[in-house]
Formats: sequence, structure tokens, C-alpha cells
Amino acid sequence: MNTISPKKKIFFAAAVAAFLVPALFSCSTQRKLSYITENEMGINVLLTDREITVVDTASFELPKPDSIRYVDEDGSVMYLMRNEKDENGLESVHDVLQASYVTATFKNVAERHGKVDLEFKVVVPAKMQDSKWQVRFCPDLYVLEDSIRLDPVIITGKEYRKAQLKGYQHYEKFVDSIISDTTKFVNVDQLEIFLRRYIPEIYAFKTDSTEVSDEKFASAYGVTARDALEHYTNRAAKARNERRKARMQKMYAKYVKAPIVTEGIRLDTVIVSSDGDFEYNYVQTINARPKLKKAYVALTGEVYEQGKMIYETPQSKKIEFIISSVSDLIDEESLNSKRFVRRMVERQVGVNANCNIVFAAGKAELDLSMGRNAEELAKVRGYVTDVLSNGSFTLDSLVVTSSASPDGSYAINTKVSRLRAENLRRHVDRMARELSDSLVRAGGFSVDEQGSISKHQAPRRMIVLSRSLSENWGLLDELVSRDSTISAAEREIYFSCSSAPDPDQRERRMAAEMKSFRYVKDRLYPKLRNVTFSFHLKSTARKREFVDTEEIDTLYATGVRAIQDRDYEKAASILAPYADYNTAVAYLALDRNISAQAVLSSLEPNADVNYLLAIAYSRLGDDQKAVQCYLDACREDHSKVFRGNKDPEISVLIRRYGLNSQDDGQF
Amino acid sequence: MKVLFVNCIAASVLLLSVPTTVFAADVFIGAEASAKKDDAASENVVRSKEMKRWSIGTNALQWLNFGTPNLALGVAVGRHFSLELGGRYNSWKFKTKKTPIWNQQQTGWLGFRYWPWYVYSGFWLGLKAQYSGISTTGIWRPALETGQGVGAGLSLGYTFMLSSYCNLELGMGAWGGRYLKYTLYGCPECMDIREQGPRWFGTLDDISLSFHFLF
Repeated sequence: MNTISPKKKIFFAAAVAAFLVPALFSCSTQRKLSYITENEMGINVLLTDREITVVDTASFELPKPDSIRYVDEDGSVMYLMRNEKDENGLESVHDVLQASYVTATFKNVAERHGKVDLEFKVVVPAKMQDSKWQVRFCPDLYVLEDSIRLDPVIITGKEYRKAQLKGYQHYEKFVDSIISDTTKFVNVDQLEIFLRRYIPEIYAFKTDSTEVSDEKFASAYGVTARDALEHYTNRAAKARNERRKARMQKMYAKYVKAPIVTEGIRLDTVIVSSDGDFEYNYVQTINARPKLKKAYVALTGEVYEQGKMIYETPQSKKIEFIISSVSDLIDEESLNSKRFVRRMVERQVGVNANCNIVFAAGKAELDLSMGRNAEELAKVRGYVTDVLSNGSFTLDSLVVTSSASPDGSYAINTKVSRLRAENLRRHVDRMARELSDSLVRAGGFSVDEQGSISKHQAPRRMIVLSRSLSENWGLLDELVSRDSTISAAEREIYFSCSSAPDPDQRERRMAAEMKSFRYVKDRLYPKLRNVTFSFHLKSTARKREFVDTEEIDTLYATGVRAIQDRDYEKAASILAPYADYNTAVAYLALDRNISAQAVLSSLEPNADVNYLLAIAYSRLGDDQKAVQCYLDACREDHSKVFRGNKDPEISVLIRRYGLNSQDDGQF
Repeated sequence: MKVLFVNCIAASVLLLSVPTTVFAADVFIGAEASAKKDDAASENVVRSKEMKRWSIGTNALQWLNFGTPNLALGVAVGRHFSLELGGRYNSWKFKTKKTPIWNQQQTGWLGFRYWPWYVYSGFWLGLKAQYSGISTTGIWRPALETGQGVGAGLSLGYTFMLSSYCNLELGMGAWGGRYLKYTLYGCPECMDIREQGPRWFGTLDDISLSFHFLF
């Protein structure tokens, strides 16, 4: 009977096992590779449902109503219920809807503050992971004509990483074998004895600190220290070391086949178990560019083993990001229409009041009892009071002009006239101050409906100025030319006399030549001795008056173009004074929601304005108003429905209150 | 005896002519030559006044060779050459239990050395004229060998400098020539002549581990 002894049996079994088992294990990696190669496995790129919310954190948190009340233009009321999906009543910036795999290949993203967040999820299947492998995947971003390779993500298997580190260790050992200290190649002991024996002078000098070149010394037979140094250097070893140094680069490439990359990558993890798929949320922020409407992302992956690529995945499907921006909503027609510069005009009113205030001859003191001084000044006082208490005007300045008649010397007249004007000015100034104080006292306080107290505004301090026209020849000229009793001939003489440069001479000539000089002196001179009060008033009317000039307003166009170029700060500053639709767009782009809302509220409501208002209210957290405005806008302009899906502020509302389904029913 | 003497003189003169010419060359031409070597530095170079020219040494291994006292005197002649005069003298007779044993010799030599790097340091090559009288018995065979020979020897070695005035030398060499008188006896006591007459010879010589002092 041929039976194999149990010992032999065990032996055979062990031998077979010993042969097969390692074969089995080593095959597993091979099998994996052939599997993924045959199936042309790729890495999946998926879009997430996650929305980055757009609620303005600065705004106070309004609780989200369960239902929205919408009033139609006819007056019919509709109630919109909030969707069940939204469980939390409160909303925070990081409110995330359930992330789920979405099979869509495109996604709407909104630009915020000039930047766009492109987010996608990468899934590396379990079959593509192995502890001996390293998987690298690199997303490619296609934007307009550019294609940019984004930072890669690297997943390293445990064995792979160990091999990498070992490679580094080998390299380190090699580097250590390179001697950097070149003095090691010199036989220093023998060299020193040689020098001591044959060139002892060097050592005598070595203790001296003065700088002497060693080459100066030589042995008795002419061997210098340098020759000795060269002789005692191990040239062969030195050359070998130099060769090693030169080979460093090659050795690095040889030992470190797969260098560990630390910069320019998103992630380099070591996976320990390859049970499940590897998921990575990739977020890339790009700057929004003008004309940037779409961005594509596609992914390629590479599998490395021992530093060599063993498999390259086919390019994944392209996912598309449709970029929408508030700046799309600008009113471009306003660019084309020619605007003219409007200049603001301030109405200025001037009132002149003439008074005859008499002074004693040659004197400047104001004497109220003289002539009709008191009445005249009372008249002035009346004017000032009128003006000050009348709210529709403010008194900018009051100019007191006094003049004198030509009799007497010019110099004295000038001085006296000036003094007179000054005295009058002081008097009037005092009077005005008294008046304004009394008005304030009379005004008292006023309380408005909110309960805030305001003091009666004191009228602005009036400026009183004095001017003196010493001898008022100008007025005399006018009086003479207008006076019918003076004949033309006399007028001629007068004008020829008054053309003389020296005023005193003029008088003398007139006295000599004019027959009607007596008349002039008696009748016309007194008219010259007077004081004119000029009131410079300014209208306080709220409404400014505008005047359209002929200038074409290029500034406005610059502002709108700045929005298109994404330079929102500049646009806002340029467009602020215009306070129109495009200004609101600029404010919204800058997230200045309250300013935008204020501007929009002052405009005439139409579809565009309502749409922008809806966005503003949505950001401010006021759902009720937002929905109202949005539905009004949609009613007027149906295309707003499609636009609404693009803007995250609106699409959030649509989802929350099921607005589109409402529209479908209505329209 | 006379012939031997004359032969010795002749050989020495012939051999000595070589180092003498070398010496002359070094002194009169060599110094300038080595000065010309570094042309640029020659103006600035200050030659050392001191020179360890003389050396005296002894070979330790020969002392182990049945206690043979030996001495070598040397003089440096230029950067690459040195002359040497040395001798060994052994007249001990030893006796083991059975047989007598001795390695007597009277040796004298005159030679020169060529030092490729620098005299008294590093490698060297030596050439010498040597006279040697030997009487050997009991080392390998009981026969007694006596002879007087002249010849020339070649040796090479390396010198380690131990300090400014002390060297350690390792060397080996061989010499050959002609025994002018040679007798081989059966044994020291019986004195029966086995061989006699001049003969050529060649043997190892100058296996040395010697210490030299310089001054």
C-alpha cells in the first residue's frame, strides 16, 4: 500500500501553501490594477446641493414666517406656506441643506463681493485605493479661453508612504557619505611635522598676529608650505568626494523615486484601510471677471506605484458652473442715452433798502435824534426782523454802504465816510444780534410725535459789512443824466468837469463853469449823502432747482462701466449722487443692502426695481417683503421667474415657499 | 686578501661615482633648478636657514637577528638624495642543547638614496655597495658556511616622520654579488669541506624597521 506518511502530507501541504499564499497576496494588487484598467475606472465629480446662504449677518434676525401674505394688484390676498423641508426656524450663515449627490451637470453660483466659490465633491472609488498606491487627482478649471490646473489632491497608501520615507533614508545616507570638510583629505600630522622640520620659520611667525603670507617661506631646498600642503592632500579621495557631490542630483532621483510633496497641494493623506470610497469637498474661489458667465471643471486622476504612474483615469465629465452676478442686472440702456450734466442752482435773492441817515457835517457819530434817523433805522430794523423770522430766506450778509457828497475835500470826505459806515455797521450789528436772540427766546422748544425735542433753530449769524464810497460820483453822474431840469449843454459841461482825475478839481471846475451848479448842490447833493443797506438773502427752499446744461455726462457712464468691470467700490462712489437704479445695483453688489433698499424705495416701482428690492429684502432677512416684491416683479415681467432661479437670494425663497409652483398655476 | 681589498675599492669607487655626480649636480645645478621651479614665488621666497642634514639610525630587526648591532649614518645631499654609510657587526656564538648556532657577520656598506618627495620623508629608493663577511651555522642546517663577499644592493621603503628630529623607516631590499672566498663545512666541529671557491650569490637583505635621528 502506498500511503504517504502524515509527515510527508503535512510537508507537501506546507510547501504548496508557502508557494501559493505569497503568490495570492502579491496578485491582489495586480488584480486591482487590471480591474480598474479594464473597466476604465474614473473618479467621479459631483455637484452638491449645498447652498451658501446669502443672509446679511449684520441685519437683525427676523424670524421666518410660516406663511407669507401676498397681495395682488387687484387686491386679492394669497397665502404661501413655508416648505416642510426647512426644519429650523432660525437661519444662520452656515445653514446647510442636506448635501446629497446630485446628478445634474451644471449648477448656478452667484458672485459675491467680486468672487465666486466653485464647489464640487470628488469621489475616489474604493477599488482605486491600495496601500501600495498613491492616487493623485488634479481638477482642471476651464474659464473663458484659459484652462487652469488647480491644486492637486493626493491620497497615499500606507506602504507607498513607507517606501517614500525609505528612499529618503537611503538618500540621507548617501549625503552623509559626502565629506564636506575638505581638511579631512589632508594628512595633517605629517604635514605639520614636515613644516616644523623643514620650514620652522612659519611656526615662529604663526604666533605673530601680523598678516604675513605663508608663501614667503620655503625650506632650504625651496619647497614652500603650499607645495607641502598639496603633497600631503589625498587627491584621489578628494576627487572621489567631488564626484560624489556631483552625483547628488542623480542619487536623489535614484533613491527618492517619489518625493513627498508638501507645497501646492490640497491634501496628502495616508489611507490605512481602503474599505470605502474617498470623498473630498473641493472648493475653489476665483475672482469674477467681466464676461465670465460659465466655468467648467473636469478631473483627471493618476495612480502611482513606486513612483511610476501605472494608470491614468479618463477625464471625468465636465461640470458646469453658471455664474450669475448682481451686476448683470444693470440697466444698460441708461448707458446709451445721453445724459446731460445737471447743475444745482441756488437761488440768491438780494434786496436793497435805501435810507437817508444824516450826519452832522464833517462828523461821523450817529445821532438818532437828528433829522429822520430814528425812523429810517426803525425801517431797517423792520426789514431785518422780517428776514430773520421768515423761514423761507436766510440772510447771508448785510452790507452797509455809506457815501458822501462831493463838497469838501476828497480826503476828509473819505475818512468821514468810512467812519460813518463803521458806526452804522456796529449799530446795525448790535440790532441784528438782539433781534436773533429774541427770536430764539420766542421760538422756544417744539416736540414732535415721536417725543423728540428740538430747539428752535437760531438763525444763522448775519454778517454785517460796511462799505464807504467816499464821494459818490457814480450816483451823481446818474442823477445828473436823469434829471430833466438840467439841460443837455449843462450835462456836457458836467461830464467834462467830472472827467478830471482829481475830485477836488472837479468841484472847482463845476463851480466855475456850470450855471446850474447851485441847483446841483442844493437838490442833488443831499441825495448823495445816504446809506444803502443791501440784504443778501438765500432761499431755504428744500427743492433744489436743477438746470440742464449742454454737457454730456460721461461720469455716469464711467460708473456703470465700473460695475461691469467688477470695480464696485468705484462704481458706488461715482453713482452715489445720481441715486438711481444703477446706483442700487452697485450697492447690492457691495452688500450695502440698506443703502440699496433706500435708493430703490425712492424710485418708481417697476419689474426691475421690484426684483432688486426682492434681493435686498431677502438679504436683510425680511421674507415677507421679499416675496411680495418678487411676485410683483414676476407679474409684470415674466422673465424674472427665470432670473429668480439664478440668484441664490431668490432661489432660496422659491424653494422655501414653493413660489414657482404658484407661478406655474397662475401663468 | 689583496685581491679582495682591491676589488672592494674598485667596486666602491664605481658605485660611489654615481652619487657623487648626483651630489655635484644637486649642489651646483639642483639648487638653482628647484629655485626656478616656482618662478613667481622665487623672489619672495625666503629659504630656511636650518636644515636637518645628518641622520644616525639603527635597524631594530637586525638587533633581533641574533643581536646584531648596526648603525647607519646619513647625510642629505639636496632635496632628493642622501648618502649613507653603515655597518653591522656580529661575533656572538650561541649554543643550544645539541648544536652550536651562530650568525656572525661583518658588514659594511656605502650607498645613496633617492627620495621622490623630500629627503628624510616619504618613499625612498636605495642603491648601495656592500662588503659582507659571514659565518653561519645551525639555523637551517648544521653545516657551517663562511664567506666574504662584495656586491651591490637595491632597497626601497617608506619613512614616517615621527617628529622634527625622528624618523621611522620601513624598508626591504635585496643584494647580490660574488663571494670572493667561500667555504662550506660539514659541521663546525668536524670542519670537513663540502664546497669551496668563489661563487655568485643573491639574497634578501635590509628588511628593516629602523629609527633615525636627525640633527
